[in-house]
Amino acid sequence: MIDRGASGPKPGRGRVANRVRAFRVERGVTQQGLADLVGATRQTINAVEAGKYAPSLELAFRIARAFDAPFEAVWEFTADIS
Amino acid sequence: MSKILDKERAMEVKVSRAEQYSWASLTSLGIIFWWFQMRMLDGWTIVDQSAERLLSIYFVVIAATIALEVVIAVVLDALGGGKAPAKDERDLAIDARAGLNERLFFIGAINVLVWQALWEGALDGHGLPRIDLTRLPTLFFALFTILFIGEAVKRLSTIWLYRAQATHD
Repeated sequence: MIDRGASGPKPGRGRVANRVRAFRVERGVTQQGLADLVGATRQTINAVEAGKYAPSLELAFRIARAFDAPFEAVWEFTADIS
Repeated sequence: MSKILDKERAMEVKVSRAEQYSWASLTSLGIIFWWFQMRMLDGWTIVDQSAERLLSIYFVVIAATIALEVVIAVVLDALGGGKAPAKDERDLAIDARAGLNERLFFIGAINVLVWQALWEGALDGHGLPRIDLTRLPTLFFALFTILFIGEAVKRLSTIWLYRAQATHD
């Protein structure tokens, strides 16, 4: 178990960045095509690519799997430590 | 590669079925409320009406709401090529957030009514606007208006949340 102590760094707000658009274009898949593959709507894929919607862990895994890429190659989490 | 992006830029102006539904439903709600207030108000005064007449207004509002929702669903289905509306996790999250806003509005509005009723009873001769909730048409109008506004809050929240996540590049 991690013990940060009373004065240790506290997790602040984070940001989920992704390379979904880059992977998708590289593989020649449309947003609708990817949406159909992962069981989402095209608008959701669009919002994810624009960084306006952070998907659930399940959808994030589905997207990485659709590209046949490792999870961390598609998704990146940047935590602000305060 | 750029063909894919060009095609998508052209598609981005299209709103989702869930958002189209929210706009249509908000419009129908506005029409029904307009009809409702025409039968309930004379200027800013709530018209005195019998319980039977209020009951008929109630049934017309409920029937019109159901009928318009069916029409909206049929039209949107037809526009979508007969496919069932696709809802994914983002749609459900937006629904939940809009539902929370609606619930918060209901809590606030009902509290205002309770305060108003207690105020009327406890402080005779106060200078605040008076709402006589012991009068049936007033009570009916107040509760039904809260229902309408609550539903409008939900629809507006849904539209706002979809717009906030939409891209326009």
